[in-house]
Amino acid sequence: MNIKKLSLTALALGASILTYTSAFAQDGAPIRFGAPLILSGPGAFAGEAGKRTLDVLVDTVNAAGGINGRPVEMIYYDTEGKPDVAVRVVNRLVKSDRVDAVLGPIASWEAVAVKQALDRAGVPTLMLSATRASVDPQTDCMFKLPADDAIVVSKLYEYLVSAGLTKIAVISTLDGFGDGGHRELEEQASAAGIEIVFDERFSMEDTDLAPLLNKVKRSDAQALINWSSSRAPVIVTNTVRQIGLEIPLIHSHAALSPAVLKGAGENAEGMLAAGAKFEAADSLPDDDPQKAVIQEYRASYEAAFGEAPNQFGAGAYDAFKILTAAIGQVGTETKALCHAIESTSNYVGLGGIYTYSESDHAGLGTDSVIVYQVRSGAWHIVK
Amino acid sequence: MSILTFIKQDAVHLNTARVALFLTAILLVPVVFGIGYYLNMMIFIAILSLPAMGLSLLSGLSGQLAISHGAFFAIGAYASAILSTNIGINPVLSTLLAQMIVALVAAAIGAVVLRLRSHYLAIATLSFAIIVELVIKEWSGLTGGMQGMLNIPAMGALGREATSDIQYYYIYWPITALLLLFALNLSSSRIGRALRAIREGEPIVDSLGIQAAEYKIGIYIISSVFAGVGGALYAHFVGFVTPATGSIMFAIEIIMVLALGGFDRLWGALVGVVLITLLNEYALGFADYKKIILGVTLIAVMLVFPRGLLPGLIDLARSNKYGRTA
Amino acid sequence: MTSLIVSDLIQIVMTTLTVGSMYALIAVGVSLIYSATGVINFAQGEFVMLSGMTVASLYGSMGWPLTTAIAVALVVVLFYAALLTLLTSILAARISLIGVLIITIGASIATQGIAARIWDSDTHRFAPFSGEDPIRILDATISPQALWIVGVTAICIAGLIWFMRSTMAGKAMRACSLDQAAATMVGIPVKATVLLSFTLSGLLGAVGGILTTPLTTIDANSGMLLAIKGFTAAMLGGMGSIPGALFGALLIAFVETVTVTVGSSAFKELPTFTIIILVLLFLPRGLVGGRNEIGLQHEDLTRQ
Repeated sequence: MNIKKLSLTALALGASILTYTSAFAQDGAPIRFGAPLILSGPGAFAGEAGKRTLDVLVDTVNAAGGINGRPVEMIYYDTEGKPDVAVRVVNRLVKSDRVDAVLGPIASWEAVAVKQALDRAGVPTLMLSATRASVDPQTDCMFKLPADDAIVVSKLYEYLVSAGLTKIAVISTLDGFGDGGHRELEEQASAAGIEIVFDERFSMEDTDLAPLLNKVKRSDAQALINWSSSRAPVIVTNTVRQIGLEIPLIHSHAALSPAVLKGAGENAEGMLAAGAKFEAADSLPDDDPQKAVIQEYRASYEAAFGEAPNQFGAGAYDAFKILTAAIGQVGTETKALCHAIESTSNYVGLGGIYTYSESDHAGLGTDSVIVYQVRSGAWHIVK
Repeated sequence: MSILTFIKQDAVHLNTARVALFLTAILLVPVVFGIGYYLNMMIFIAILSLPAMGLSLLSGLSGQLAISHGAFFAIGAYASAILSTNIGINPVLSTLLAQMIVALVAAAIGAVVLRLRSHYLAIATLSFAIIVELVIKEWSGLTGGMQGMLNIPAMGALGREATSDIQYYYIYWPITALLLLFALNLSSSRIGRALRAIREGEPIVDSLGIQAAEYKIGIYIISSVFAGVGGALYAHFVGFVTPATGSIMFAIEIIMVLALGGFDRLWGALVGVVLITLLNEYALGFADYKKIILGVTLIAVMLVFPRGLLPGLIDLARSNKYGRTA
Repeated sequence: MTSLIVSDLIQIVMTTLTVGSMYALIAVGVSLIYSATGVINFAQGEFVMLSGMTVASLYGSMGWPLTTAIAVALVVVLFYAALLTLLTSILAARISLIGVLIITIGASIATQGIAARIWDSDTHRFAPFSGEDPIRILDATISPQALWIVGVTAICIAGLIWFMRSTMAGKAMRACSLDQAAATMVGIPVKATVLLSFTLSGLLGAVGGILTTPLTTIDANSGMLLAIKGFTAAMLGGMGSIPGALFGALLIAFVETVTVTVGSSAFKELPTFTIIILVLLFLPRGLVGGRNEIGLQHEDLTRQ
């Protein structure tokens, strides 16, 4: 037997093993998703809702036989709300766990930090953070779910102008979320006809905001916009009431959670916020296509976990649905999968109606955002 | 070079042999185990060992505790990041230039705070660290504010830059080993002995003509530069820095490393970093439990081995050995 | 215009007193433990966190009567103070100062983790004792809770000073802080004295948590930052001195309030920590001046 023949046989054998294993992989091997979520520290409520939602979705998909016969496996890591930890867990997800796609992270400052690592690894990613910066500048395979600062600010300004409140005070936290909102508020102001008469940043660790808000009180602002997340909206709301600041208080979309309402109690009465339609499904008109979807999710979440869901769980829900639909069409090969996600069009989700395109990886427009006001302890639609 | 002339030659030989053996073993690890995610952890160990060794040098030689090493880690990281990202200086050069900035700041701060001791020095350096963190957060035009700096160039020179973990591994570990050797030799040099003498009681030292103040500032600068190098290597490895890089919590973590490894053991600092890194890695996803484990471990180690885990275990092993031979 | 300046001044004074009281309760606690043991207790903020979280869950969420919830919180904190005494003083009799410092850091971290497991990592709060409606003085506004904070703090610290000056136990504590060896020789039970310091210090922290949670909110990880504020205040005034700690706390609160009022809230802590470095340099015993410094006897932190 000559060497040529031997090597040919070996090659053929090798090739057949290769095709066999790859066919096997297509067949029964699990599809792995990584979810770096904030599961501890202030803000853990957001990650927790995401994790619960994903757990239920994975069970449902697997009970129905998986996606094209392949079961879904979810790998969670706690990002602790820290960008460096987020980068470490994302590295572990792409290098060690070799996930097919990533869902998360939720906190804006984490999302921005992990962007580079995910882009280098080329893993399809659906960001659950509420800042435009997570997809701007845009990268090949990174998409974003929740309504972001750009569209929320534009909706808020539209509302303020229509209400005749054009001189505003802005306070924002010194973190990724505050940075994003602050930038949008500044950039969009003059075009919208808004004048920012007071603008100051504060730290999430500040526990006494009375001196800051007293300065707002002395300015001639007609409304106060507070761009902060986690526990800061609660402290701001309580302090605004405590010092007797009477101009309208407007929060970002991060304040749209049951936790904020609970923390601020009676003090929340009358405050405004803009965000996705998720918090007020029942008062949406019946012809709104999102109404039924949101109501169903809320009801099943409440039944399963005994408490109201929040928008962060909703983001995870939409991301999972969009991702699995795309995988159902084209499988997990990265390029094809990215293209399939990018082709998502008019998907009616909990956070809005998503249409991605080559030039838009954010997927939502201002029509998916509404303005809320708190009346008798619940969020109601204003506009 | 000048230091070497003061050291007993056999100490240098012993240190060199040990470090060379250690580095060889480290460099062989990927050859034996192949490429894997563990490399990522090993690189973090190489990086974090530097601030820990720096603090160990300071506390071992002067008996003092500074809480400023997190801050110097951050200054090293931000300085190198700003020089390479905004000005476009090559990362190798920016890492070196950043150390000049670290040394200048350390000299200025050292000249002021080193007159203090004990808890007072600790609080003064803690205050300095808090100020550094604030300045980083606030000077957003330069530092990117809370959001930090992204897309910092990868380590490399002459048009070749490190792209994979294995490349970083082979660049960073020799640097760490070299600095470890430097620290070991410094510790056994005349300077090291002089510092220990200062620690025992300054009046005697003054009468011998050793300038205590200069020696103390010198060791503080060197020790801070160790942290600064660590910071620069970190920035060019992970590609981003935020105010959390080198925060107070990070400074406290370095102190914990010493608690595990022993306050005056340079090798112990390495062991401490390995333990903390492993804990961080395997407790991923369990941040609350991680805190419980870390807290309880620290308490237990301090109660059982007051000088640190590694020295404690060594003592234990020695006493067993002598017990057997006796 | 004048009324505006007057309102500003009233507001600055009120905020200084409120925030200063909060810091003072921690700083005085730090100072007490330092007198007794020569150690800075990093876990001091955990007293505040534990009591705040206990009252928030029992009274705020579960609807227990406020007094019962407060009683439970005090018991919890007393147990915790006893545990800390055991760890830092009784078991750690022959450990270097840095070792004991690390034990308190370890205790603080472990407590944060355990609290996050028992409750959660979210922010908690309960209703203020006398409602939310602010009291107005000219253009300045004060929360009724702020009056509770300032009033109760004043009573606690006055009581503590009386206790230290006028009772046997208090005198024993002062004797121990001056010279432990001599105190032992004249028959003062040093261990009991240390336990008493931790207990009093814990109670002050607990009072802080109960009073301030309605205003500032609390979460499982709040403790360590509070502790850092507390011991910087104590050090500013002079370690080991109760009036010093009170003064340091009020000064920090004043500087912070003025910085935010006339400057930017983002830079709030910059002047504070600069002042601390300066004070340490020029008045190493603090502005008021502590008594005999155990810390100075142990200049070398790593020596056992």
